[in-house]
Amino acid sequence: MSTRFAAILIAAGALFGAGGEGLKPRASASDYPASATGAAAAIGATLLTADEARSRFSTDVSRGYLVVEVGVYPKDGAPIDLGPGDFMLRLAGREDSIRPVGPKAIAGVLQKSASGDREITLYPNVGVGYESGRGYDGIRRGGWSTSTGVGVGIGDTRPPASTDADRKTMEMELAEQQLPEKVVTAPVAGYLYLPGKVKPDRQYELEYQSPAGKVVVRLEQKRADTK
Amino acid sequence: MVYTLAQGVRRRLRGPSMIARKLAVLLFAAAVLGIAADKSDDPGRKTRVRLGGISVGFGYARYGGPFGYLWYPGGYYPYRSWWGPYYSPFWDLYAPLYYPGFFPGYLRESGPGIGEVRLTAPEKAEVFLNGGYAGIAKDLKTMWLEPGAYDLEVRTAAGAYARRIYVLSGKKLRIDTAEQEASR
Repeated sequence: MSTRFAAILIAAGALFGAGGEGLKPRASASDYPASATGAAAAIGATLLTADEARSRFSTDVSRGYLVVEVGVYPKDGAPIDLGPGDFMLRLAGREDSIRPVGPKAIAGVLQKSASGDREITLYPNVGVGYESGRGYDGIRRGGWSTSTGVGVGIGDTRPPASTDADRKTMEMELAEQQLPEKVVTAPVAGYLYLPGKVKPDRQYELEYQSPAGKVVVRLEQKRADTK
Repeated sequence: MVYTLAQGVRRRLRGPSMIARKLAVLLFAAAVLGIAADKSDDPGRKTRVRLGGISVGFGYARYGGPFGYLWYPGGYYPYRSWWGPYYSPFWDLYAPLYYPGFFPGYLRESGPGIGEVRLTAPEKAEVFLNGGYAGIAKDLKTMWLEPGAYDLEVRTAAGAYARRIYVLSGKKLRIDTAEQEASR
């Protein structure tokens, strides 16, 4: 690739690149739990467990999406026109694969499907009373009375993360940490969001496609977390 | 939103104690069945049970006997005494339960959509939000913020902790400055 073409690619990336800057890449691809090297770049990746996703995101992204942290390390500083769309995920041994979804779509889905908690409030009450006097029939009546009771209030709290401001915030959080979409010459890292839920003890394959060829990284879902 | 009042009354000398007890059991059973029937597909949905408060009261009522008559089809009825058997001083104790507006869950539901940030940091650390000084950590253990992204910085004599945080309404975000994530 000529120097001029590389410069054009970088300029185009700067102009049309979308999303945030992603994450700080680890020192090398081999620092990720899974890695592979191709003709154009080395790829390191890890599939986040639901617990990890919950601790790293305010957005409840694990409710319907797989999160893969990926690092891309271009070989010899050669420019790569990179984007989340270059990746796909599939279960090992299967042909059908899924591609990453954009932050805007995810935020819209999560905002609409946000569910509130149910709250049951108990109000116990006790009372002691004394009545005396004659009734209309002339019979004297009275004495001590006691009462006990419980009020039960059942209600749904407003779902968290369900306002328009929440949707924008979720979109921002996901976009800022997504794998950048731009021309890169240095290592970059970020998250990929793929539709689906983590299946326990399954092996996944993350495939990176570039003009220089494919790179397949074998990911394994950690046994401890199956949510 | 459903409100159910279960109430049992025991009167030693007179009164519809059995009816009240049966009614209380029925209402309580209805509430429990209602909770059980409300199944949701969302595994993230939780049911919280909380104590709204305990009310304890004492009442005294004295009947002066009949002093007037109220006409009704079939004859006259002594209205003063009509009041007696049906009025109970305990009714006042239940008054807060008659108004759903007093239900704290209702009040929270109507509240502004803000998120909670729980900060764990050295007490004297200075906290900055979006570059502006917010206060010291001792006073900012809990912050309520509108949904949005904020640049949080906590400065101590030992150094600074900086992180971009994303606040969502109704959600709690815990931040411990002792925990630094390698990926950020």
